[in-house]
Amino acid sequence: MSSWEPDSDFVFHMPTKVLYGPGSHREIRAEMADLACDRAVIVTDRGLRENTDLPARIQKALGATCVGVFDDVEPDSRFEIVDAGAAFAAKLGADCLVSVGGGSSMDTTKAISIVMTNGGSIREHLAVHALTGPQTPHIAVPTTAGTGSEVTNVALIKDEAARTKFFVLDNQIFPRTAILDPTLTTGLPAGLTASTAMDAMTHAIEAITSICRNSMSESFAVQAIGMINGAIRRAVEAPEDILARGTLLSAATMAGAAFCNAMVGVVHAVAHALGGVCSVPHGIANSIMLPHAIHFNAVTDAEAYAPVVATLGIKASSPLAAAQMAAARLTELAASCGLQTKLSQVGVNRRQFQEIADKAMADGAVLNNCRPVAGPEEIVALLDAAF
Amino acid sequence: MAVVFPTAEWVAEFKKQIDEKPDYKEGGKGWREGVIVLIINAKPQVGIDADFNIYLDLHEGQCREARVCSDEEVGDHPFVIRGEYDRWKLVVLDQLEPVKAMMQGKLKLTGDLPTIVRNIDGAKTLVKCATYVETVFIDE
Repeated sequence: MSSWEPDSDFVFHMPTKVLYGPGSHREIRAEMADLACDRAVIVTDRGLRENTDLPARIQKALGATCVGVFDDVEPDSRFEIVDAGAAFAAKLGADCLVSVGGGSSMDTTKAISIVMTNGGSIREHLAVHALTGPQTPHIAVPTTAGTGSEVTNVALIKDEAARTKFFVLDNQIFPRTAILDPTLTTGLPAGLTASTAMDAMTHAIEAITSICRNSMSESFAVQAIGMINGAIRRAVEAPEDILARGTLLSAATMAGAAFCNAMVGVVHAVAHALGGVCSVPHGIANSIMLPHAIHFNAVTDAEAYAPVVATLGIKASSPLAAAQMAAARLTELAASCGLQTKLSQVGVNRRQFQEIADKAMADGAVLNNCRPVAGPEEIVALLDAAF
Repeated sequence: MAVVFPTAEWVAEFKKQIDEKPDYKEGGKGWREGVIVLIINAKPQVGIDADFNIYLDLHEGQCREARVCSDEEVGDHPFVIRGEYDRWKLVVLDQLEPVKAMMQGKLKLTGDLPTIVRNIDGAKTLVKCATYVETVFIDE
């Protein structure tokens, strides 16, 4: 069952080399040599560095080619962090950036690569497909299975003062290489395992229902939904299970490739705003909003969910009923993994609804939603339903 | 009378359509950011020897000025959309939706995309006005 329209045009871009396998991080120095680089700076966050051995493992694998570690990445890094990272790497004469961590580390690294290549501040480069040449090479080593940022051309950066996330969207910022090593994800706590997996689930589902949906994205997305649905509980319950971890990791990358080319919709528009206004973690925001967006969208375009419904094995009397059952199934899945399912559980209050709605309406993702969003009042209604 | 795209005459006719038709007056009334520069990349093979820069000073549904501008002027403005002639041709023919084209990398935006998104109706109605121009394309 497919929902894409063969008469609509699309672009599918996936230039990142993907290297998958338990222990594959040990090949990073060879990958770096393939890029003709020999001075790498690792970009990561301090929590990961202090509480896990993951950055140290990558540093060890890089050996003498690692000239420094920048560990100031924050959740949704600020402009200042990006500029500081670029100055740090430039001072060390780095010719390659290695991100180790989740979406924030990878997005920060994409932004650092822009500043390293073009100079100035990242504030001067908030543009859409405006870069004119290759940027400083970036090898992405995800330690979560969700964001898909290792294969996307977008970097989200937060402006703290404006409480807004800005993004750079550019085909020049795809990481050159993504190293998917499931052994790097076994230490991920249950809550993060679940929320990042639901982030990937949202990427896949919105890629299928976006107005930019297309046959190639759909094939990645459908596969990803089935893999996440089959592995998420196992990865939460048995964190050392390499099969479950690897399934989620590769599914998240496939979902990333899907949404990078089909775009995302209203769930992401709202999640970005929830992150900017209320600091709700992105995966949790997506997980909470996804079922409510399905109810909203299915009223006018239930057929768009046909591939989702089929992949989840749902049978119902009508496309609308099937989509509604899929929404309920996703809520159950999130709850069974210990995730919050209401905005009231994650520190959002109703007084923030209007600001969230206004920001969501200015987010590019809202344009791609399969049901046109008429105005902020519809976002407020969605938030109310999710509260 | 048909005018050739891209030329100064075409830009003048485009402004006339923006001024005369109701589309942009309604769709563009939320735009208070001023100038947008549209750049058609040089394509000597079809007779565009240098970048062709269209300066549009827009404000709340009105086009205050439309003209060809120099490369030097382009750098002063916060919203610049650049693309190949063949892409712009499709936009003028209403066969390529410009905001989607920006997202896909077919057109390149320097400037704040959320501001453009908030004014999506303005973008759509500007394209609509372009389709009203009786156009002959330079490569035809």
